[in-house]
Amino acid sequence: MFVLLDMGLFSKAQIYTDEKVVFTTDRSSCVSGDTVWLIINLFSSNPEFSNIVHFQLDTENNKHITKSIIKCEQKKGNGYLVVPDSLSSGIYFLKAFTNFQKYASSAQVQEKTLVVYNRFEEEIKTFKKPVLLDSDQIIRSSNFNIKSSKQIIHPDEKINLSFLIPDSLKNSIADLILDVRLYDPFSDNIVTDFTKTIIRKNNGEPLKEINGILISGEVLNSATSKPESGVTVMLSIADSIPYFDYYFSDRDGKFYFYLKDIGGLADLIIQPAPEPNKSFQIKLFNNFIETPENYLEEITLKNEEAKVIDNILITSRYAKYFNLPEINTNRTFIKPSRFKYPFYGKPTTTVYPREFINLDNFNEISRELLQASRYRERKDTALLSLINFETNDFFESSPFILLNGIPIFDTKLLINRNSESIDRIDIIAEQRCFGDMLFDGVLAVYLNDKSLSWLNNNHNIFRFDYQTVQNPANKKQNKNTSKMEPNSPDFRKVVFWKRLNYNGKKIQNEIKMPHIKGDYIVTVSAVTETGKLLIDTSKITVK
Amino acid sequence: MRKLTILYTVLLLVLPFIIYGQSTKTPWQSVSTASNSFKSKLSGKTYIIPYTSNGTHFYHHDFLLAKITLVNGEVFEDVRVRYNSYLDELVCFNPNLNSLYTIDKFIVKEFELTSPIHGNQQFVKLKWKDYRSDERYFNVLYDGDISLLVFYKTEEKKTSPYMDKTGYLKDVELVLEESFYILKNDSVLNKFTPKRKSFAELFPENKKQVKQILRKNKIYKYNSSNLIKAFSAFEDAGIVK
Repeated sequence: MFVLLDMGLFSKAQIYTDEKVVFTTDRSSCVSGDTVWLIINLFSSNPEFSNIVHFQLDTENNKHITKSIIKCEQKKGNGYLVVPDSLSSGIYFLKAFTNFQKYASSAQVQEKTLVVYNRFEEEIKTFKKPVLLDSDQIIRSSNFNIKSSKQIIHPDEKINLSFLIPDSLKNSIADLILDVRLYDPFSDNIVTDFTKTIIRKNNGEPLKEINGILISGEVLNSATSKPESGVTVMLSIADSIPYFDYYFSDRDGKFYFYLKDIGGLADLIIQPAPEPNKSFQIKLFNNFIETPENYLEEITLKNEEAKVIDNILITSRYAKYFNLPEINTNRTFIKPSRFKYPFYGKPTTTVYPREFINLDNFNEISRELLQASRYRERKDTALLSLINFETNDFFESSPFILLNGIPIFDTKLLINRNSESIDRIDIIAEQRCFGDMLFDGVLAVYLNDKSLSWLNNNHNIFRFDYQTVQNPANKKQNKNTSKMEPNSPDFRKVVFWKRLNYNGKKIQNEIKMPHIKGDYIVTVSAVTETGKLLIDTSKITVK
Repeated sequence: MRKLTILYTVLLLVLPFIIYGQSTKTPWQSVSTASNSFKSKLSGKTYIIPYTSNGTHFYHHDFLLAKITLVNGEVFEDVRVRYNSYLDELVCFNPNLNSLYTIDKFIVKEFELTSPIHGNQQFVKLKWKDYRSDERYFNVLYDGDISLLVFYKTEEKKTSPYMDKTGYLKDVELVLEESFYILKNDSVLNKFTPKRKSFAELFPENKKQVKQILRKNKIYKYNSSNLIKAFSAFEDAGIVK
C-alpha cells in the first residue's frame, strides 16, 4: 500500500515559525496501570527552541487525567506516561505541546487516541469511537516493504524483520521507529493522529522552556478571593544550599518562576510577602492545554474484537502474577542548578551548636554563640538584629531569617529551638542584595530535622508537591520478587519498541516473540525532516 | 505660668533621650514589575565608595556598560559596572535600588566592557590561592593556546606625608600595578615577567625568530599594548597558534 496524502503537520515549503511536536506511542491500546512509551521529535526554525515537551492524557471533553513533562536532547526525546490503574475503559486523547506553543497564536498540536481497558472489567461488549471530520484526520501511509524471515512463527521463537525506506525519502528521514506488538483489531482500526488548534484561554508567558520549566500561579486576597497584584511572592526549595526566588505579581495577580535543570517530584514552598491587615492564598496552575472537544459514538464490538480484548485483559493479569519487569518511575527530586554558595552569599560566620554545651532556647543561643546579634524577647515574639561589620553598628531592621532555607517572618518559630535541634547557623553580617531585594543581614538556621513539619501550622506558607521534568526511567524487577524466574512465561504485549539508527540501507532486526499466540502488528514509523509522520504496517502471526 | 514652667522643664528633661525602635523597612520594598526576570538574580554585598578613595580604588575612571556571564552560562547585558582594583571586586550599579554592590564573585565567570581609554576588555575569573582570596579577575590581553593575562592591583605605597583633598594628613598613596601571567592549555597560571628573556623561555624552539619579530616590530618596552602587539606578531608568524 503506497498512499501518501500530503496533509501532514507541515507543508513542504513551510519554514517553521512555531514549534511543533511530533510523537509516536508504542501501542494503540493499553490496560489501566500500563506504561505507554513515547518517542518525540521537535521541530523549529529558530536557533533557540524549547526542549521541554508536555504530554497530557485527556477525556474527549478536555478533562485532564494525567501528565508527563519530558526533556529532549537535540530535538529528540524519550519518555513514558503511566496510565492510572483506576481509569475506566474508554477512548482517551494524548496531546503534546511546548509552553511556547501554548501561548503562540494559532498553534496546532498533534492529538492521538489511546484506547484504555480497565483491568478489573470482565467483559467489554460496547465501546465508543471518535467521530472525526476528514479535514482533522491525518493519514500518512507509506510502503516500506516490511518482511519477516518466517511465515509461520512459534511462541518464544526469534525472527528477523526487515524493511526498506524508498529512495525518494532516503535523504529526508529525521527519525525511524520500529514497533512490534499484539494486534488489537479494535484500537488498531480506529486509532488516528490528527491536529487540533490550541484554545487560548489566558494570556501567559510564551517562554521557551530550555532545560527548565515555567511554574505559574496566582495570589488571591483571602478576604475577597480576588487576584491581588503587587505582591512579592517568594519560592523556596529547602536544602543545605537552599533555592530562593521571588516574583512581583502582575495586574492579574499572576506570578511565574522558571526552574532550570529540575527533575522529579519537587517540594515547593511558596509564600506571599506578609502585609499588615492582609492575608493571601496561593493557587498553583498545572500546565495543560485545551483543544476543541472530540465527539464519540457508541458502537458494539465484533466478536473477534471482544475476544482479543478479553485476552489482553487476561494476559495483563497473568503478567502481574508472573512478575513481568515493571517500570521504575523514578520520582527522585533533582534540584535546580545553583551556585557554590546560597543566594545570601558566603556566610560571615557559621556556628555549629553541637560543638558547645546544650542551650535550652534561642535566647541563650544568641547570647552565648551568636556574637554578631542582638536578641530581645517580648511576650511571644522576638526582635533580632545583626551587626553590620562594614559600619560596626547594628542594622535598624531585622535580618532576613531562614529556617531550613525557608524565609520566616514569625520569630515565634525560633524562640524554643534548643542546641540539640539545630545543625548549623549561618550569619551574614552585611547588607546584601539579591536582585532588587535588600537584606539587612541574614540569619539562616538549619535544623537537624529536615522534614519541614513546622510548616503545618503556618497559614502564610503554602507547600506544593509539583511533578516536574520526568527522570529517565529504569526497568527493574517487580519489587515483590527477588529475581525473575528463568522459566517464567513471556507475556509481553509490546515485543519491540525502539528508535533505529538509519544509515540509508535496508534495516534488519532480530526479535524474540513472546509466548502469547495470535496476530502481531509490525509498525514502521518514519518522521521526515519536515515533520511528516509516515507509517507502514504489516501483520505476523504466532501459532 | 507655673504649669507652663513645669511643662517646659519636663520637655527639656525628656528631649535628650532618643527612642530606639526597629525600622519597618522590608527586604522587598524596592521590588516591582521591573524586578521580574526568568534569569538568576544578581547578588552581592552593598558597596559604599570610601570617602578617601578619590576614585583611585578603581581601575576604570567611570561606570561602564558591561556584559556579565555567570558560571551557569546566563548572560546579563548592559550592567553598569566599575572594576575595583583595590579589592579585586566588580562594583555594579542597581538602578532599581539606586545603590552600588560588589557582585558575588562565585557567580561570575567573566565580564566584557568597552572603556574609552582601554578599548574592548575581557576580564575572566580564575582560580588563584593566596591569603586574600581563591579567585581573581584577570584581563585577557591575548587569547589562544597560550593566553596572556594581566592582573591589576591597586596597592598602598608609603610616601612622604602630604595633605589630601579632604584635608587629612596622609603618608600613603594608591598606585596601580600590573602583573602579567601566561595561561597554557593545562590551565596552570604562570607569572610572566615582560622582558625579552621571558619570551625566549616561553618559546624555546623559536628563540631566534622571537628576537627578530620583537626587533622588526620595534618592541622594546613591554607594556600591555606592546605585549598584545608582540603576541599578535607571534601568531602571524605561526609561533603561537
